[in-house]
Amino acid sequence: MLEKARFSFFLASRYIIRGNKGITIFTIFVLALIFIQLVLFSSMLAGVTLKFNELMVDYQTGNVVIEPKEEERYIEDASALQKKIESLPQVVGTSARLKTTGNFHYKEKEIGATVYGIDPADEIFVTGLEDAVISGEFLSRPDRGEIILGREVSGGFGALMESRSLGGVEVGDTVELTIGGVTREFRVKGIYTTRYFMADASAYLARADLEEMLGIGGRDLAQEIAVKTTDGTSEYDTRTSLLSLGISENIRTWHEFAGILRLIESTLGMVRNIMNAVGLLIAFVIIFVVIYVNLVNKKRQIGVQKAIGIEQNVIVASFVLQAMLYAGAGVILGYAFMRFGLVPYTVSHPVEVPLGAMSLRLDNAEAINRAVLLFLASVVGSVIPAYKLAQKDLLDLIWGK
Amino acid sequence: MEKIRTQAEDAEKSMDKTQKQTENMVKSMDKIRNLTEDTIIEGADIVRTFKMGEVEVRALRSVNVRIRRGEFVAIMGPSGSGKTTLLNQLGLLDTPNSGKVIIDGTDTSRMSDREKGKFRLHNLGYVFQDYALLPELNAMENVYISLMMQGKSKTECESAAAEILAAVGLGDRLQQLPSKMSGGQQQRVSIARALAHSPRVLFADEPCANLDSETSKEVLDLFEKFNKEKGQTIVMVTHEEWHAKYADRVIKLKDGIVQE
Repeated sequence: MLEKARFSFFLASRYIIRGNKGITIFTIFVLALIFIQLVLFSSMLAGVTLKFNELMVDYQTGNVVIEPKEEERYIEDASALQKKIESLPQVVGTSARLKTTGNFHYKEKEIGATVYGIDPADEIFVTGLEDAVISGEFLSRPDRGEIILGREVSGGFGALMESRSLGGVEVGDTVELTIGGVTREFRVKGIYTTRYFMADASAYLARADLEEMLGIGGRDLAQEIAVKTTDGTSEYDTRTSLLSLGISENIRTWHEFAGILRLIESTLGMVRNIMNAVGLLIAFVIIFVVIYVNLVNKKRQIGVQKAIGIEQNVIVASFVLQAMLYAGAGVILGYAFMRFGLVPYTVSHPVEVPLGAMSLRLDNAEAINRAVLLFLASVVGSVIPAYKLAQKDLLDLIWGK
Repeated sequence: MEKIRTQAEDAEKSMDKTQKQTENMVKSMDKIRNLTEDTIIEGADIVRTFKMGEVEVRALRSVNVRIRRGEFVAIMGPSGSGKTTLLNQLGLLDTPNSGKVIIDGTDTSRMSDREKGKFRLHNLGYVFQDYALLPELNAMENVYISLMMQGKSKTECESAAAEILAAVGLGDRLQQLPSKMSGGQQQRVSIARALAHSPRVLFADEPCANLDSETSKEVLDLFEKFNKEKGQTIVMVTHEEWHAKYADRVIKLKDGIVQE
C-alpha cells in the first residue's frame, strides 16, 4: 500500500516538475484565485461584522447594559448604582439614560425617533458620540433645551434614509419634540453620524429635559445604564462581577442587542455560501478540464504503464495526487497572499465603505475549511476523468482510441 | 528338434525387435518431454476476432505456437497477417476469444486483468515501436518504474537501472530526459526498461520500425547480446528479412494462420 502511494506520488511529482510549466503555473494561479475568492467574502463578512460590533459598542450600548428588573419600568436610584458599578476596576465609565420614542416636527416634516436623555459628562466616558458630531457641538452638562440629532433624523450629511428624515435640519434650527402628548421646542446644538444606521436614527438631550417631559423630574430614574469596560475585558466576566456586587437589575451584554446584526450576518452568510458553492464548482470544472486534457494527451502513456503492469488504481492515484498538489500549491499561494498581502494592506489602508473604514479579517478556521473544500473539489474533479480513462482497455489506450 | 530351434530363434528376434521398438518409443518420449519442459510459451488454438463496425475480422485463426526457453523468435508476415495480434496474445496484452496461452507452466487464460497485470510486471518485458517512454521521467527513472512498482527500494532501483543502462551503452545518460535523446538512444532506454526486472520473456513489436539501418543494427545487436549471453527469451515482430536473421527461428503468419 505504502509502495503504491510512493509510486503514485513519484509519478505525480514528476508530472508537475517536468510537465508543461505553463499549464502548471496557470492551474495553480487559477486555484489560488479561487481560494482567495472563497476566503475573501468570508474575510469581508468578518470585517463587516467586526465593524458593526465596534460601532454598536462604541456608539450605542457600551459593553454591558443594565436594564430595569422584570416588570419594572425604571432603574431607581440610578446614581448610586452607577457609583457601585464604577467601583469595579475594569469599568471605564457608566451612563444612566432615559430612553423613549418621540415625534419630531420640523417645518412640514414629522418623524418618529428614539430619544435618549443623558448626562453628557457621563456619556463621553461610555460612547464616542462626542467625536461623532459632524456639525455643531456635543451637549454639555448645563445645556437645557438643546438637542443633538443623528443624521438620519436631521437629514442631509449623506443620510441613508433622507426621505424619512426631517429633510435638512441644521445646527441652530429649532425642532419640536412630542413625547407622550408633551411638546417642547429644542434648539439643535449638533448633528452626529456614527455611520451606523441604527445609532444615527436617534437624538440625545439632557436627562433633566427628558425627565421633565416624562414627568419624573428629580427622582434619579434611568431606563438603562450603559457600562464601558477596558479593552480586552470579557463582557461575560463583567456580568459575573456585576452580579457579585449584588446587582439585581437585568444585566445584558452588547451581544444580546445585536439581533439585527445577526440577521444581516446570516443573510450575508447565505450569500457567502452561494458564492462558495459557485467557486467550488468553478474549481471542480477547472481541475476536471486540466486533468482531462492532461489525460487525453497521456492516453498512450497510460496504456504503456498498464502494459508494464502498473496497477490501474496507482495510475488514477497519480493523477489525483497531481490535482491535490495543484490545489495545495494554490491554497498556499492564496493563503500567503491573503495573510501577508491583502489583509495587512487593508489593516494599514482601510477600505472606506458606508459603515466607515473597514479592513479584512482572515479567520484561520474558515481558511482551513475552504482549503479542505478545495481539496475535495480537486479530488472529485480528477478522480472522475482519471478513473474513466484508466479503466479503458490497454490496447485501446496504446492505440490512442 | 530343428523346428523347435527355428521357433526359438524367431522368438528371440521378435523380442529384440520389441525391445528396439520400446527403446525408440522411450527415446521419442524423452525428446517430447525435453521439448515440453523447455517450452516457455505455448499458445494453443488461439483465435482472436475483432469487430470493425458490422464486419468481424478474424485476426488469428486457431494459431498454435511453442517457444522454447532462451529462444529468439521472430514473427513475420505481410501487413494484416496478425503478427502484432499474436504478440499481444502471447504477451498478455490482449485476451484471445478462444484458446490458451501458457507461460512457463502457468495457464493465463483464467487470469483476471489484475492478475495479468501483476504477471506482466514480474515476468514479462515489452519494447514498443515508438519507444513509449514517459517524457517526464529521465532515463534512469523510466528504467526503474517496474522495479519501483514491485516495491524495491530507491537504492535497489537506481543501482539496477544504472547497471542495465550501462549494459545498453547509456551509462553516461542516466539523468537525460527522453526529449534530449535520439531515437536509437530512446529505444535502448526502452530495452533497458523491458529488461530491468529480468523478465522471463521479452516482447518487441517492430522495435526498429522508426530507426535507420545503422541504429536498427545496434538495437538488434543488443537483442542478440542479451539472448546469447544471458539466455533471454525474445519474441520480436518484424517485417524486415535482415532483422529476422538475428532470430533462431521465424514464425510466419499469413491471414491469421501460421505458415511454418
